Formats: sequence, structure tokens, C-alpha cells
Amino acid sequence: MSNAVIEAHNLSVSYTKLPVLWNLDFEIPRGSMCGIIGPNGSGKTTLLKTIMGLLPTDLGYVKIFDKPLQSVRDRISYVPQRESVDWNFPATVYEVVKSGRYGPKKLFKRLQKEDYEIIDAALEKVKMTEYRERQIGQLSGGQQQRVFLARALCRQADLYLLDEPFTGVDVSSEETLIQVLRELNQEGKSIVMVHHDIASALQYFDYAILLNTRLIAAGKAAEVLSQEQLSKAYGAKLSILDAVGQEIKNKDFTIHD
Amino acid sequence: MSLYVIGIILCCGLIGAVSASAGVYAVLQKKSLLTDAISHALLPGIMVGFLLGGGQSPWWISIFGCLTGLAAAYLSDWLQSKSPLSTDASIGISLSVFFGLGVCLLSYVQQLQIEGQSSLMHILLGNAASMQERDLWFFGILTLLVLAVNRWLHKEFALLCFNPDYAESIGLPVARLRFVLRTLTVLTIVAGIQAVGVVLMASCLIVPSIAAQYWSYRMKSISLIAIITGCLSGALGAFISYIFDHVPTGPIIVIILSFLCFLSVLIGSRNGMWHRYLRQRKNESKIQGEHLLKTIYHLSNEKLQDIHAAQLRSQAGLSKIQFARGLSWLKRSGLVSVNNHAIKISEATRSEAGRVVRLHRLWELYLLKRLNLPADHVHEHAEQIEHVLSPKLEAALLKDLSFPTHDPHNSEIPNA
Repeated sequence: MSNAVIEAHNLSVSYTKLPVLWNLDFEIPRGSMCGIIGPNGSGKTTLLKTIMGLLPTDLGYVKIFDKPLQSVRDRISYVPQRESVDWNFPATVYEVVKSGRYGPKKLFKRLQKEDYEIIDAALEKVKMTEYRERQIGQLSGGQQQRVFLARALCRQADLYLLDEPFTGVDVSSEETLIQVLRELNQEGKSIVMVHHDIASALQYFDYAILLNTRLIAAGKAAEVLSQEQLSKAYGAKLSILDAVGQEIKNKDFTIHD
Repeated sequence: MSLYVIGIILCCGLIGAVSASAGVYAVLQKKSLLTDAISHALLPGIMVGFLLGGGQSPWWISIFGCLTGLAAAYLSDWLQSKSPLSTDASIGISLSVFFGLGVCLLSYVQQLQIEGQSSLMHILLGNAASMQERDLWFFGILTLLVLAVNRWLHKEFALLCFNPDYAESIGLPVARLRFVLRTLTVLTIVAGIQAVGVVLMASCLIVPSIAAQYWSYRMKSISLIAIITGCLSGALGAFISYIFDHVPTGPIIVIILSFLCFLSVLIGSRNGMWHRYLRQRKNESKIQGEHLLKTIYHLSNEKLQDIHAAQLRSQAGLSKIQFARGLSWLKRSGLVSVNNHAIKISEATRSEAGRVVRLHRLWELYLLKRLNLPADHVHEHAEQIEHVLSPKLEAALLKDLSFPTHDPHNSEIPNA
């Protein structure tokens, strides 16, 4: 049995035909607190969505807990980017968090008493209980992010995938969020998140994936986030790689297994 | 009124209700225009069904209408993903292609001598009176079925509209749910073809939920309000169209719906124009009132003696109207009492006035310390923000600034 919570093998992904991830190979050990780090447009969100099966792969595969995604979905909880939804949607905090208990097994069914207890506990954990009847559009960015985390907590998963949970978040919300995530990590859960702030990365993560459409480095955070590696990731893109990608898109080539 | 007429009115009420309940999802997915494309695209299917069924059998026209409706929806999806066309262009193209085809078929069918062809024109703008008894049963039962499935899958549909990526991540069968939702939408529109007509059917879906959004921010109430609005408009429209013979039902229903929607925009309790106007008025009164409080604070100098109204107004520099508003806000809040132009102030007045001054000075200090503004820039802004700060924010400010005693101009910050 492999010790990896996520294993990516030769993973290549395109978005609107343009290749955005080139042949990624990495493993994230179980129980990690792992950051996916890279500049804008480096494919961080794409990588997370691919792991979650939301985008098709051109090449390669992802294994989670050594199995294909479909068979371990129940053990994963995903927090999408905050900007990916319309916060003016007519829903209250409680209703959004409640959807964390939905799933294929609950299709057509009502939630049980046990579900409601889990929902209440999740709200309490992210300190949003007093806002439970608020419309989600009336919340600050940090509160919205806490709502998303509460929804994810309701899944009681072993692996948490988060997409930029600290973007547009106030200091006290960030503290609440990181504290909840650390507690989960201490309970043995694996946390993998897209993160944009290098300054806080070393403090938050013990493992890191450094990305710029290609894998720059994967490993212990302290080694990956060295000045040398960072300058490779945040320096200019590789011209030839970029040109080849553009050629694939422009001439309508497809890359596949 | 005969049983048949009551049947028509009931059926139209049901059609209104089910359209509204399906429309909520369309509007929340920001796909209103797609429902219009689908409803126009039913026309060729209906004509084919009419030809093959040899007359106006509700089964044949519904099944074929449904097929072309779905085809139009998937054509626009396909165009969006496989061509450089934008969303609105793809929807527009599939609407016009199918509707154009439908109109051609309609004129072709009208040349033929088939029983019932004269009533085919009603498919465009709808005429409830053209429905026969079997149509009433057919469309009535269809609406009830669609309504039932809508309620049954409500929580999944809502999640699909709000956050489809998340729905997929937890393993919901998103593609199948999407297909079911889309089929339900098409069936809804099919149910309305005879009563409302293909041209206006989309409004029956969209308008009720737009109106409902001015009354609530809860999905459940929005659905309910939309369904009631749709149901009433449908029934009332059918009734009016029955009284004034030869008036098509569709346009009447849409006029009633639009009226209700307009009314909601005006007086809706959530963000309706009247509601917003009142809220702004209230804010203004509060601003003038608190402005007077500050003036009282500076005038009264710890002593609780009466202040003359004229003196207060000239000191505060307010116009007559502003002054009257501010004073009446103070009276309503129980902060002052006025006796023959003498304004009586109490401990409560002093402490409330102190609170406003405190907020002003706290904000000045906050701007100075946290936004690094120079001291001569902070007063103007604080004049406005002092009215915004809630007790909760006040507490946060006090804590953040570690309970300061003096503002940037070295005036004392009054204690709570």
C-alpha cells in the first residue's frame, strides 16, 4: 500500500484546448498539510479541479488513497474558489452549510437528526452560528469562506482540498480558518490547498507543490520553497513550452493517451 | 359558468404554477433566454406531431414538441462548446432556426385540409378556450407530474444552480440531474402551448421568479411566491379571456404577470424601490438627528439645561427641513422632549451624544493609525462614518486601537 494520499502520474490537462498542465508527477504523503503554490495562471486551480474529477485529463491519472477517485469520493471534501459562485443567490448560511450533508446516498431523501447535529457543530467550529439565518450575499469575504469550510466539514472526510481559502479574507477569519484546518490535520486528516501567499506558506505547510504549468518541485515545504526554486517558478515562463502549447491550440491538435 | 370553463381556469392556474416553479431554476442559473429559445423551438415539433397524429392530439404534439425543444437546447449547448460563438449568440441562433422552421411548417399545414388546422394559429399566442376536455385532462395531469418531480428533487436542483462544481465533487449525478431539469423545463413549456402559446410561454417561467426575488432571499419563499403569482395570473388570465371572447389568453396572462412584477419592483419588501427610499430617508433622519446630538454635546457642557430650538438650529447649521427631520428623529428615539421651543435634554441625551462624538473621534484615530492618513484629512470622512458604525464595530474599534483616550486633534474621547 502506498503512503500517498494523492498520487499524480504524468498528468497533462488542457483548458479550452490550451495545455495548462504539463506531465505532472508527484505524490503527497498521507497526513500532510500541503500547499499548491505558483504564480497566477500556473494551473493551480486546474490541478485541484482535475484531482476532483471536474476536468478531463489529456494524459496520465490521479489516484487518491491509492484508488481511483470514484471509489473514494466519500472520503474527500472539496472547497471551490469563493469567486466561482454567485453570492447573491437566494440562500442562507444554514442552507449552504446544509448541502454539505447531501450526496448520492441522500438523493430524494430528507436529512436525519444526526445530519443536523453535524451541521450545527460545523457552524460552531467556524464561528458562524450567529449568522446562520443571514443571506450569504450579506457576508464579508472571510465569513463566506468560513461558510464554505463549514460545508466541507459536514462531509467528515479524510482529505480536504481547498482552492485559495485565504483570498479576500480578513485577519481574524484567516486565523479561524487556519486553526480549524490545523486541528483537522492533527486528527490525521490530509489537507491540500491552493495558496497564493508565499510569505505565509512556510508557516502553514509541511509539504508543498510548486507549479508553473509544469512541476517545479514537490517535497518538504522548507526545501521546495527555497529562493532558488521560487525564482524558477515565479520567473518567466519557458518560451518553447509556451509556444508549443499555443501551437497545439491554434492548429487544433489534441493530446491523449 | 359551466364545469368546462372552471376546468379551463383551473388548468391555466396549474400551468401558471408549474411554469413559475420551473422558471425559478432557469432564472437562478441565469438561463432565462434559453427557456425562450426552447419555447419557440417547440413549434416545428408540434407541426410534425400534428401531421403524424392526423389532427390535434395532445400526445403527438407534446411528444414531438418536446423533442424539438430539447434539440434546440442541446444545439445551443453544442454551439457554445464547439464553436467560437458566445452564449447569447448560440441561444439566439437555435431559437431562430427552429422557430423559422416551425413557421414554414405552420403555413404548409394550413394549406392542407386536416381537421383542426384552423386552431393551429392558437399555438402561437395561446387560447385557453381552444382546449377540449381531453386537453384539459392531459395538460392538467402533466403539470401536476412536473410539479411533483420539481418538489421531489428540489434540494438537488437548488445545489445544481448554486454550485454545480461542488455538486459534482460530492458525487451527485450532475449530468443526469441537468438532463432531468431540462426535460422538466421543456415539459412545462409543452404544458402551456395551447393556453399561453409558444411566443409568450417563456415569460410565464421567468417573470414570476423575478417578481418573487423582490420579496424574499430564501429559496423556499421565492419558489412559493413565484408559484402563487404564476397560478393567480394563469387563472385570472383565463377568466378574463373567457369573458372577453376572442382575446388570446397568452398576452393577457403575460400582462397580468408583468403588472405584478412591476408592482414587486416598486413595493417589494426586499430591495423594492419604495423600501429602499424609506431606508434612505431613515438614514438621513438619523444623520441629522445625530448631528444635532453632537451640537447639543458641545452646547450643553455637562449641564443639563434646556436649549432653545433656534439656537440649536443655527449652531448646527441645518436647513429648516433638515432640522425638523433631525429633531423628530430625536423625539421618536426618546432622546429629547420639546416644550414650547425649549429642548429638554437628559442624561440619556448626553450619553448618546457622547457616543456619537466618541465614534467620530475613534474613526479619525483609526484612519490616522491604520490607513496612515494625515491628521488634517480625517475629519470629513469621520463626519459620515460616525453614523454607520454599529455597537459591534465600535467595540472592535476600541479594541483595535487599545482603548484610546485622545483623538488626532488631541480632544478627549468620551467614555462609554
